[in-house]
Amino acid sequence: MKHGLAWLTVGLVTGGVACGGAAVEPASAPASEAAPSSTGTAGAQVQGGPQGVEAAATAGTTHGPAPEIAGARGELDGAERQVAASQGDCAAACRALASMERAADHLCALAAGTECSSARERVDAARQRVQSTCGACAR
Amino acid sequence: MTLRRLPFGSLSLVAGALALSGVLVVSQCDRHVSAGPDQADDAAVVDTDLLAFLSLARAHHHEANLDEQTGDVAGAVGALQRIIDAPKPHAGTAIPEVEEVLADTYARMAELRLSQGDADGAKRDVESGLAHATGPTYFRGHLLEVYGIIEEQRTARLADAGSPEEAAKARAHARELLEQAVDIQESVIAHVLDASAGGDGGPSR
Repeated sequence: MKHGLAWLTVGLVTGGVACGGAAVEPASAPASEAAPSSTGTAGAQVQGGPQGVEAAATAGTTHGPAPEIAGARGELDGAERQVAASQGDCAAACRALASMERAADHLCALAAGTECSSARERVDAARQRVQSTCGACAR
Repeated sequence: MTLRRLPFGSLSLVAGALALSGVLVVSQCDRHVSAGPDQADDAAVVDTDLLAFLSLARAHHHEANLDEQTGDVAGAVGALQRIIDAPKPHAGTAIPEVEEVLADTYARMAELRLSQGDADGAKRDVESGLAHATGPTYFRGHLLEVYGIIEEQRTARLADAGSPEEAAKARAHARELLEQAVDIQESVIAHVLDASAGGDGGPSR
C-alpha cells in the first residue's frame, strides 16, 4: 500500500511539475535555492542546479537568457522527462510482471504439465528482462 | 480465497494507475499548449475537470485503504463505488485516464467482494471493468487475472457440490482467462521496455 501511495505521489507530482513549466529541484542541493534566477518567470526555474548554470543565469542581461543557458535548460528539461518516463516505465513493467506472476501461479494450480511450465518460463523470461532494465521490483 | 491470497499490491496497482494518469495529464498539457487560444481555454477546463476526478478517485482509494485496515470491507467497497458513481469529466467521451481509473477500481472492488465470498458480485465488477479496458493494457490483463481467480474458485465450489461437468467447464474457462492475462501482461512488459529502450517517451500502460 505504501508503494501505491508513493507511486501515486510520484505520478501526481510529475504531472504537476510538467504542467507547471520546468521546475528542476534536485533534493541534494537546497542551498542554491536562495540564489535568485534572472529568469524566474520564464517557466524554467532551475533551483539547485549546477553552480555554473546558476552563475551564468544570474550574470545574464535583462534581454533574456543567453543561448547556452537556454540550451542547458533544455537539456535539463529533457533529462528530467527521461528520468520520469523511465521511472514510469519501470513501475508499469513491475506491476504487469506482478500480475503475470499471479496469473501463472493460479494457472499452475489448475493445470500442471506443459501449460504450467510454459507459463513459468515466460514469467521467468519477463522477470529477467524487467530486472535487467529496472532492477528488482519492489514487493 | 482470502484477502491474504489476493495480493494487495492491487492497492499499488490502483495508485499506479492514478500515477500513470498524472503522467498522462502531462502529455495532455503539452497538446493543449499547441492548440489555438480558444482551444487552449477549453482544454484548460477539461484538465481541471480531469484532475478533480483523479483527485476524488485518489481520496476514495485512501478511504478504502482505511476501511480495509479496520476490516470494514463493505465500507471499502462503498468508498470505491463512489468513484464509479461520480460524475465523469467530459461526459460522453471516453478519456483514457478516466477509463483506466474505472477499470482498476472495478478490479479492486472485485477482489474485495471475492474476499467476502461474493463471487457473483465480483464477476459483475470484472465484467464492468472489462468494458473500460478493451485494449491489451495492464488494466485488462489485471481484470482477466481476477476473472480467472473468480472462475478458479467457482471450479472448486462446483466440484465440491458434485457437479464435475460444470466444474470442468469452469476450470477450462479459468485457464483460458489466466492464459490471456499472462499473454497480455507479457506484451505490456515488452511494449513498455521496448518503448523505454527506444526512448520514444510514449505512454506506457
